[in-house]
Amino acid sequence: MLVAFLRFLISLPYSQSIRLSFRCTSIPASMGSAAREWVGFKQFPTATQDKLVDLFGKLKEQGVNTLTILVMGKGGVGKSSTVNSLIGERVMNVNSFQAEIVRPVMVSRLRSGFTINIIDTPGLVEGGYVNYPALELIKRFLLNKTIDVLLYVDRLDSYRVDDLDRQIVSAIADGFGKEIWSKSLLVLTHAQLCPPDDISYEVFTSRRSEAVLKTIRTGACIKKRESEDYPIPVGLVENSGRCNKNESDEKVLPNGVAWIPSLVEEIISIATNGSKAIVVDQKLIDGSGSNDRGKLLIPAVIGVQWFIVELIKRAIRADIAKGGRSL
Amino acid sequence: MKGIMDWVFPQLLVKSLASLSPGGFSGPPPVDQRADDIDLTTNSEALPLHSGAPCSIESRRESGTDTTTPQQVVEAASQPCNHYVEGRKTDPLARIEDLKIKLFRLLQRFSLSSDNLLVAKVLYRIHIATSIRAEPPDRVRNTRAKAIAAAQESSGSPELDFSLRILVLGKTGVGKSATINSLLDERKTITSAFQPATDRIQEISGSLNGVRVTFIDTPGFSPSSTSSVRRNRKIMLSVKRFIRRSPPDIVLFVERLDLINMGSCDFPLLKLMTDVFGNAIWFNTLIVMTHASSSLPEGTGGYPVSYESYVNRCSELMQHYIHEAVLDSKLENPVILVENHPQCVKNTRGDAILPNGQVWRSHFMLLCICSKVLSVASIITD
Repeated sequence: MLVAFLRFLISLPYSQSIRLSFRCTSIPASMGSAAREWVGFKQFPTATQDKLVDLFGKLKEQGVNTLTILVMGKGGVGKSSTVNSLIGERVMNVNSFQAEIVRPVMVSRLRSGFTINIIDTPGLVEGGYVNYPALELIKRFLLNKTIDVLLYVDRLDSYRVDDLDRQIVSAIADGFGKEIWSKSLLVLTHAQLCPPDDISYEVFTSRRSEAVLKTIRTGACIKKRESEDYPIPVGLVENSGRCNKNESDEKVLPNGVAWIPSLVEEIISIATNGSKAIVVDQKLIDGSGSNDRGKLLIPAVIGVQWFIVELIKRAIRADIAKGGRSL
Repeated sequence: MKGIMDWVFPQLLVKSLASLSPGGFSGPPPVDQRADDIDLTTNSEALPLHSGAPCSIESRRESGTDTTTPQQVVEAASQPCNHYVEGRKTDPLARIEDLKIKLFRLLQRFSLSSDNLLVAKVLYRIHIATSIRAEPPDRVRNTRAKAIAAAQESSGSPELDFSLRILVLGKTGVGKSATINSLLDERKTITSAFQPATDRIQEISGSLNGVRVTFIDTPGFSPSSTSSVRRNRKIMLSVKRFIRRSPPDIVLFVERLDLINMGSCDFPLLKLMTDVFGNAIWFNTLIVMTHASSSLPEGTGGYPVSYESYVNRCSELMQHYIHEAVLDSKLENPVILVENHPQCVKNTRGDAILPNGQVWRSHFMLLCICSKVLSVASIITD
């Protein structure tokens, strides 16, 4: 039985316990600006404003007065730029050569009784490795908040997905629980591009999205049926000033879609998709520590060990009985 | 525990690659058979073949050079016999002259102006190397070389025998195969936007305006992470084995201009390359930045950055990381900008141009030609 107990201990992933022992004793980051009047809303073209008013109105009818959006991804993909675009003001500093943001910042805006909170985070990659301390910092910042939607940001014009992306997704799933991915949306930035190799825009975006989504499903261990119940939608985004505009002066993508209202619509559909919002409490921050992989095998392993121990015992007894005279 | 082979390979590589360094006049002894490969005697109608130093004086007088000062005679006599290269009976100064003629012919073929700063630098370096032997002023020889070159180009008579071997390295998805395709102007190798397309080392040859160009296309490296180190090392070792047989003239390290920022400039990968190939790989490397006419990110304040300043910042960042990898901050790697997209803006002559108006193909050929000429010159003068 001691052997079984030792085996049980070994099955706990040690990497989790190492991460738990990292305790950041610094003061939690500032909450960012308190809810201010959403002046940036007036910056949107009229057509966009109308659509957004519509969408927020539907939310209010369902009794939802606030929306909390968490934006995460590796560095340099356009998280802060996306936040700036959604709020309509330059709230976050953006720099292409160095990481501007070192701790999470929450931006809150209030408009006719509806509060929108967007949380911008530092990039999750540092020098080729996942930045676990940054993830801890983000979790600590989110204490006692509820996350309605996770925006996982990547670039449309990167051509490859690699193991590092999978590791980031895995780290997010471990840190916040796998359920966060049922409340997530994939955002692909730099969407105003000319596809290479004579591929059409639709084919390119669908193949790129599929590649990233596949990585997300692998990294977060999302099974096929779960992914069909809560498919992760994709939002295309173009944050630069060069974005093309349609007749109503809305920013449009090469496929003709005005992306700001489209993205907000997807966000709201995720927020109201029936899956539970992620409540970040102390328990989540401390972490349950274990993942569920292989837990079902524990009784089987114990059974096999007991059986083997019995065999050995029997062999020893038989041996003693045979060679009675000894020493 | 390093085996004997691990020690021998870097030595061989240092010998072949370090001799290519543009400023490396004091490098290790040249690998003589490489000099033999470069066929320099084909256009030597003005330069006689002769054996040994003493005869050179009379033959040079006979060749009808413009000035035959006593100074020249004295210095020709004092040429030590170590210039006598096995199988090659031409005096190195004559070979330098050949080389300059070749350079001018190539510039003419690719419609490159020879008043270029880079060409001037190359000629100056050659001048410095040869002036150790107390040459008369180079300007006279340059005009003569230019005249010969023009005559040869218009008549097309002596075959210009100049070839380039270019090794292309870089991460996966940056555009190595696409660059090769667009330089040779046909789809010689497959590219794919979503998965690595090149999975083994292959040589792709073509001819650009009479110059034989051979590209060595390699599988791309994965971005550094815990699981990719072994795979990258394997690729690098196989490339090392491949180039051991026939070393390349130029190494291109390809990166994407629009993805260079603090995160994406992969320092661990550069360090791994330096560990596997040795420092010598960086001495003759040109940095190629693809997607060069893509839209630029906006700078601080939301205002667009100027193209030149963005390119300079990216080049400095890459150079900085290479310096850190090699632990030598005097290294200079020229940067070439490239745009492979078929819908790239074109000028009136149909050449693809970058946002700063430069025709990138010509600039690419100019840099490659100058690099090769400098390396050949340093071999001859060693």
